Amino acid sequence: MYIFPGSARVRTAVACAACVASLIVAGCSREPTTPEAKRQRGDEIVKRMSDHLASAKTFTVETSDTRTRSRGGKDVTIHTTRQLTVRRPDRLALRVSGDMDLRGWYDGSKLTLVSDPQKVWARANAAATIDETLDRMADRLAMPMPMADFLYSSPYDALIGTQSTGGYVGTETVGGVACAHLAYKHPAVDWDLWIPETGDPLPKKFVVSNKTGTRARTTEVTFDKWTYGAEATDATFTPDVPAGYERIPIVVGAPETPAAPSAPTAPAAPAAPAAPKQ
Amino acid sequence: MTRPTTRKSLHAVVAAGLGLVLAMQTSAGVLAQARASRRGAAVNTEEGGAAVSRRGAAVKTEEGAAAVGRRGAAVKTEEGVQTVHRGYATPAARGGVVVGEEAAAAVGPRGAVVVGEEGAARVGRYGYHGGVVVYEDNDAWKTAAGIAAGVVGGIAIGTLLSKPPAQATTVTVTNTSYYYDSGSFYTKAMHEGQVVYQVVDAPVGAVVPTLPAGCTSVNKGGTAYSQCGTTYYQKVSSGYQVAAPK
Repeated sequence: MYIFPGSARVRTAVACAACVASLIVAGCSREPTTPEAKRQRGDEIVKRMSDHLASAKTFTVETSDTRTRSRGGKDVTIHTTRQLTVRRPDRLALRVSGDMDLRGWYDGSKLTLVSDPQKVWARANAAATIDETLDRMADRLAMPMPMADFLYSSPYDALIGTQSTGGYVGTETVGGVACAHLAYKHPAVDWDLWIPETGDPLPKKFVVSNKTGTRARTTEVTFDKWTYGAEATDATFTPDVPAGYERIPIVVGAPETPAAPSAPTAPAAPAAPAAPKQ
Repeated sequence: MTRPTTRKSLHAVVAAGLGLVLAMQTSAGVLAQARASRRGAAVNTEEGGAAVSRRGAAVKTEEGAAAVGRRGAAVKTEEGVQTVHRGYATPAARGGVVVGEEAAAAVGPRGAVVVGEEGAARVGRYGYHGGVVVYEDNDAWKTAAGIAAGVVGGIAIGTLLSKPPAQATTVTVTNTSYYYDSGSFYTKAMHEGQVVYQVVDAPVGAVVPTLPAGCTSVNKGGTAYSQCGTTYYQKVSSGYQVAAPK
């Protein structure tokens, strides 16, 4: 049988082209397929977001959050909106409305809180930086803020620890914007984050579940508006306590000043074990 | 209560407690921050919750609840509650331990421990330590903690309520407002950014119209007092004034 001498070459060429094409497709794919690749992609996106947030000297952010709390044996859903103004490294102002009503200022040394409906105010010692003050608010003042992870000088370090696993999930639309969906797990906390695929890598949505209690507690945060370079003078962070408001204490998680070892009357409840820093 | 059941329960308590002590921090049990959550927890595991201090501990697991202090201990299993006090004929005057369907509580002169649905809290002379335990009102707390039998002095020091008792009266001491009801004093405090009512030690100088239940007459340094739990009252023209005998 006569074999057209060119047909073998054609078949070879076609096969090679197919190989090259498949390699190109595989190499250029935007969707990682292995756990390692998903983790790498996820870490890269979180790092890009983290660097972008950390680079902002001042910014404001408006968020809406929903969480469930137990009150009197019943689950109650709490909706709040928050406006925060950040001036790195040591100023923070906040206003919470909705099911809570609170104004607050961190002025570099003190944290002052005002509840206008109750006509009360409270003040606690803060720390030298926003990072330390956020830790103090969560650990000692029982005042966690759902979006606090994004206010630290390194949101990446706030979100991802040594025991964290997970990474990039895929592309999803949030509020009409195509976003990268990231999901990470940790023995104590799971979270999902959506960051726009184009434009500024600023969070659009964050869902965090704390697993350290007897049942998981989930908070969903939607980032409604980011404003970089917002005006933030000292007046923005100066407490505004109306005259006549009653000062009340803040329920603290640990003594401000530990008792001296030689104190004749030891405290009933000693400080909790040192927090395992990650 | 049979011994094996108690031992089984205590084993569960100890096992849960050890893990929890390692994980214990302050109020991170219900925090919504990834960073704070990773750094520790007040309560842990699906098996229950616990609060531990140098002077005592309270733990609740699926198999029961237990509270232990220097002055005594209590264990609850399916078969009942057993309490042990160390040589005090009137243990209630020095505190008490109660456990119930949803919570366990221990209260003493130096502090209190409460373990509830949402976490654990302990309060000592230097303040509050623990997770979020905010009850709607004092009736809700009593229901949760099974206080039907009662602890003299009422609700545990440090307990947080969303609102004060409906029948509470206002007492002002050195420009600070307190709410008083049935031997307990409450003051406004801020917790998680919200105003709550925290049970506090009776403020010296406060005057209440009537004595709470369960008081005994005592004499300290030649002065007659009414001792109600750990609080001493002195009769004055307008009622009974909280005093601090020397």
